[in-house]
Amino acid sequence: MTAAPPGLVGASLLFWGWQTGNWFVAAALALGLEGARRLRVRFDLGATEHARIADLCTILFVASAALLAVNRGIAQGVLAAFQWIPVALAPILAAQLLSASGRVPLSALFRHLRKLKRHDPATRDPLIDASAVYVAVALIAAGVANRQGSGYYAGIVLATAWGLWAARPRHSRPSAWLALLAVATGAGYAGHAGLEQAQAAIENWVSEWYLSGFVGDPYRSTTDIGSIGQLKLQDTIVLRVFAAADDAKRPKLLHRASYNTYVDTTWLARGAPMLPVEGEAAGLSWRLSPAAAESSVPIAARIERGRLLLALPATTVRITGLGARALKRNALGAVHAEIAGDWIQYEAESAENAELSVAPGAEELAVPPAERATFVAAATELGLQGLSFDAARRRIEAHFQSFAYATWRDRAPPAGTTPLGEFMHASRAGHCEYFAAATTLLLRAAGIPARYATGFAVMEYSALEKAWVVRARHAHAWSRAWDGNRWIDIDTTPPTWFEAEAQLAPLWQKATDLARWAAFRWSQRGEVQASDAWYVVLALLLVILAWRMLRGRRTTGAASAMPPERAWQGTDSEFYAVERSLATQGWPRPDGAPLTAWLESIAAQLPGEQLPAIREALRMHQRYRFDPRGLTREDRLRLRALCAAIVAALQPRKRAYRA
Amino acid sequence: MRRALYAALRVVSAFDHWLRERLTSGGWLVLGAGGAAAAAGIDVHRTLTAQAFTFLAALLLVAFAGTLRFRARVKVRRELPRYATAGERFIYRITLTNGGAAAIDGATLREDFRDPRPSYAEWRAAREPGEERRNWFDRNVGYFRWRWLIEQRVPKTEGEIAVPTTGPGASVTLGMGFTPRHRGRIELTGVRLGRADALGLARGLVRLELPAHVIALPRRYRLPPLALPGRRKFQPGGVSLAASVGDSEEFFALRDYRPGDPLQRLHWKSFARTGKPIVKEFQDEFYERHALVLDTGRTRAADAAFEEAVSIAASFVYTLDTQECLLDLLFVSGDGAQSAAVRTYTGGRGQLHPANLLEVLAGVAPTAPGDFADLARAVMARRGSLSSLVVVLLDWDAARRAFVAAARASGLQVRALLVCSPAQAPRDPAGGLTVLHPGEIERGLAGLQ
Repeated sequence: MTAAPPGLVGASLLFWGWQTGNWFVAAALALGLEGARRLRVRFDLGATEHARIADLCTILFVASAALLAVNRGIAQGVLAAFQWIPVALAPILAAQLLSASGRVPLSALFRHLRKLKRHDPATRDPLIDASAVYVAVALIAAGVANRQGSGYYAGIVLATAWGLWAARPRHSRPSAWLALLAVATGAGYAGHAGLEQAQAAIENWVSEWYLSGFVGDPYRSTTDIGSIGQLKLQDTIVLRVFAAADDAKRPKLLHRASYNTYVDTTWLARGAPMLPVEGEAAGLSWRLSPAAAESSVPIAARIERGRLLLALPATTVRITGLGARALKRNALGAVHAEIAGDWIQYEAESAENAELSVAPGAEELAVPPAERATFVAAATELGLQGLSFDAARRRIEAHFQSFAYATWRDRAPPAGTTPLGEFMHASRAGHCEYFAAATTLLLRAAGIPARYATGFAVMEYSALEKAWVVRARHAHAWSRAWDGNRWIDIDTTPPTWFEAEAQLAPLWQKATDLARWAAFRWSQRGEVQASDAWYVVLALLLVILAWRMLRGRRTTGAASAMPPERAWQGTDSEFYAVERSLATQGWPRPDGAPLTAWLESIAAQLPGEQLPAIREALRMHQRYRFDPRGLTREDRLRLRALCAAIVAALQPRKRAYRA
Repeated sequence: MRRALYAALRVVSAFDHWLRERLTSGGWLVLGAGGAAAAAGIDVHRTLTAQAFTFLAALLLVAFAGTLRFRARVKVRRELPRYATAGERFIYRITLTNGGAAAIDGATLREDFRDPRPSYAEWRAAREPGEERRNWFDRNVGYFRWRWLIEQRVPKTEGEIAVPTTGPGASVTLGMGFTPRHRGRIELTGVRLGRADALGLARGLVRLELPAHVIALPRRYRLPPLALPGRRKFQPGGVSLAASVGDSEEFFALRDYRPGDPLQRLHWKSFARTGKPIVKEFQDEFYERHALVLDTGRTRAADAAFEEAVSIAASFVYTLDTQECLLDLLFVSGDGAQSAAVRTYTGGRGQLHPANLLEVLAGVAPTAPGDFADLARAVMARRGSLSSLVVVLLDWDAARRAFVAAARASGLQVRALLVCSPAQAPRDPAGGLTVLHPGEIERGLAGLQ
């Protein structure tokens, strides 16, 4: 298998450290692994030792993945574990670099191969170089950290280019190599940009896969007004409101965001930037209004992608128990939290006369030109001009009572008609967004400031959970009108909407609810943590394991490309020094020539006085080398002395020869 | 459903072959890393590895595009021996001549073999060794059986052989080699010249049609020195085509007495000198004639036991000294549309050479188990001319037991060998039956007398 060039393992680990923020670990690993290449100490590790080290790495990785999955949920946990995979696999590479063979048996990495080898020892088990695979793993793990920016792409390109350059074919011209790499770099960049757009498009279509809508956008609410077909409804539980079943004071509408501008079926929040809220009590308490709290309700909310537009009663003054990294709010009452985890719990404290949002401005009276004719005519028809707020409100509510609730729409509005215009005049049926938008614009046409509000309706009590559960399909829209002092919620959607949507729930909802409840309870357990003492014990165990594995296996010399050769008898014979000495003086032994034949061929040129000694040394050398009985101690010493004398005698001749 | 599975295996196999031909080791690494990056980056909001995936995928695409430029005009000549042996390395030479205007640099050479994918019927009927130990899913999907069948049909090659830089008009001779995994005919369709692209990830290919074939003879085992028992039997009409057929009883040699030798042939002087009966041997039509009977009855397609049985038969053919005797090889064979029939091939004394008999054995295929009755009848019909019988059996059912008993009853010396897995071994093997298990054949044969 391909080997990574020197330095690339260290560089890719540093890149991993930069992306994941684990600088210290990355530097230590890079130093250790690159240093191991240069060390002369080697250990005679066999297939069993390599297999044990690989098994240990697997156990470490699986254990850490399980721990992370328990603490952060399966998806987050597995990703986090992948982020640490270069650390988990480092012992395998270290063992390779420190082993005498400089390779790892393939069976060390695959238990199945080990099983095959047990059944049939002839099974092929090649020695491989795992360094290039390790580099690839480190580069991929760096991407799991999700550090935004162009650094990751640049790093991937550079590291890959380094590896490819080192292994490029002999016939490859640098210009052609560079041109191909440049094209691939450009195409790869365009590819991932396109991939991101494609995913965004898919998410829009397939919201079943992804609860992206639940994250919430405080600036924009794209409605389904005018959409053809069945309204998408999901049963996933997104909120739990802990109030008694008969609690009349429980919040019935949880507000998330309000919008003041209607543009072509989309509601926007103009002139309402998100501003940070300062936390109290070590970031667990967030005050939204100076008023004193009169009541509170605990709420649990599901988190998607670490951020959430909080669902709160409109009269919330303070949020407690919320361990958010940051909290922001806007003037229209939207509160946005950045927070980790699957589910969060917080308590919303409310006061009767408090209000999350500010008094109305000019936007809250604007009716878009496309809708103006419809709603001014409707306001005139209903005689809303000049009526008191309460009277106007009652008349509008009465007007919409004759409308029907529908989640299905079979045709587009006729040309020249807006979806809301068709709703008001022709279809007189739609889902909550129609009612909320139409009520808001009708109020504005009557001169009453109004906003379009979104959030959730709290309507379903779960005896199993002893809490009010809010599903994704309980997302609701309504209108908020200014009565001169405060904002009043006006919900003109027929109350049958809840029943109508509940009927669309699947038959297995109860079973899935049970699973959802179990998952929720699981997510609320405490985090499993290891104390420092445990880390010390773990480190100690690893050191003991390494010592037990490497003890007595130390050899010296650099790694060879081939497995270590068998130790032949007599390879330490001093006669080789004689051979080298003769070779340096112009009589090298040809490849494959036997020592005797070679000596005889150069005998005529050798100094005559040395020839008998050389021949005797050769005879003793042959005995030492090939006779199973070897040499006696005296003969061994004699061979040593003879060879030393010959080498010494040849030296002056060399000097004389050179002189 | 099975047809769909078969079609899927064919497609996957073809794609795998396509990749193996074209990707270098670096290319495999990029492909694997790209796959891992794609799996980890399925949600572009959670990780950035989709960026690595698109870059690596682009690298591979660009590399493949880069291979399209590779062209080579070469002539190839293969010097191929006729026979190989299953399980043993087979070496030969290929001479490559560059007929183009540019030098060939950085290229590699490899043999192309005939498409090894089994037919639907072969795939259904075959059982890989140890398949019964596989789980339900593997047994029913049959992927491992598919892989085993393909491995059996393609020799173990030595990978890409590097071609030294070859200038225009120059020739280079390369030593090639492969190890047949299985007996039979190995079809070579041509050679494939490949060269990696500039990035070193993908290989451009030039194929040269050069059909040829090699017969891989069956694997053989060492047999202990065997003196085939038997009596000399009169061969009516002599041995047709034999080099020295005649009525003359010309003195030929002296040899040890064997039961059945007429007393008139005793060489009394030698008897007296040596103290043991010595007979005069005459060139005549009194020969020892032995039969080697191979049982090919198998409900399943070729399995390990069947292959071992063929190897044992090959070992007998190769080892027995047939200079002074005849050896009839009998088995049932049905080739394709032909109905199964008993085939007889005779070796020794100027008839077929052992190599010819081995070639015959290289092509033996399983037949229906019921055909053994025909084989038994054919053997018994010629019992008059036979001295002894070596029977290699695959089963020990009533028909085979009766056959062995009948042969013994007729005065033939029978050496019966049963090849079966340990689980199928008979509990009370009759006397004279040697039971051999696949994987332990050599050890079992060593005990033969």
